[in-house]
Amino acid sequence: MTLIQLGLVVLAQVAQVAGQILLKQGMTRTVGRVSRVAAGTAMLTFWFLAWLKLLQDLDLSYIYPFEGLSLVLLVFASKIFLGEQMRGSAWIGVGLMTAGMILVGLN
Amino acid sequence: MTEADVAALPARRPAPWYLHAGLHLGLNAALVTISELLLKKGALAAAAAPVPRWLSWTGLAALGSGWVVAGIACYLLSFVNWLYLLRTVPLHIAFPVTNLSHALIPLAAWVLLGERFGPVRGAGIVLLIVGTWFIVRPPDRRGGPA
Repeated sequence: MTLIQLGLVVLAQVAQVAGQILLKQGMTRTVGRVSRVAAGTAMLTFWFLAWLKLLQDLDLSYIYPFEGLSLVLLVFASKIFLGEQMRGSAWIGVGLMTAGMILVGLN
Repeated sequence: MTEADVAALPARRPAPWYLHAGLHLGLNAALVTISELLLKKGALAAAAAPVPRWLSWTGLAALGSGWVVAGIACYLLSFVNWLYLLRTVPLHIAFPVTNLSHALIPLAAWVLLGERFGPVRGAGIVLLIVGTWFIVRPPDRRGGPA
């Protein structure tokens, strides 16, 4: 994976998590629902276009594990933006997933 | 709440089977897997459609492929399904359960797309899935944060 591809992966995953948070807030509130769902959809569109490019250049079984980055980011984001409480073991999960992605990346 | 208050509440009928959250979680994993396979197939078959340079970081050139169109259709279905899940299941459960696709997709890429990978990538994928489980396993009975 080149540095540019890595950057695109990270940006795409950040956009995906931001999109998910916006959708979650949009679907569970009555005030500001439309704007949040619209912004979330825009974020996911960006993610999708970047993803199509990565699929053109790399194996599906190589690039797909990096979707896991969004879960790692999501653990942080749902704590910070949604106020959801995480157990200590969630952080073990974050560590294992990060190690897994490094292994795939080394490949 | 008094008994009269309780009686005034609308009756909670059980949801019909096709709205069951578990069914829709499974459906989501299946739709995501199928859509990724179709998108990859389309990306491989991508005709070099002319794309303006400022969009060259995107995979827009692949949009001409029927595979990609079918993949997007599946993806949109999974998106509608996802909006429904967001209404019914907490995000920190709904999102990782759909990550079943981390096992399904490499498996399907091996079987259906002929991708081959060694033990290092395999081990990385296993670590990812185990890590997911640590994040999503259900809360223990004693209570405490999920």
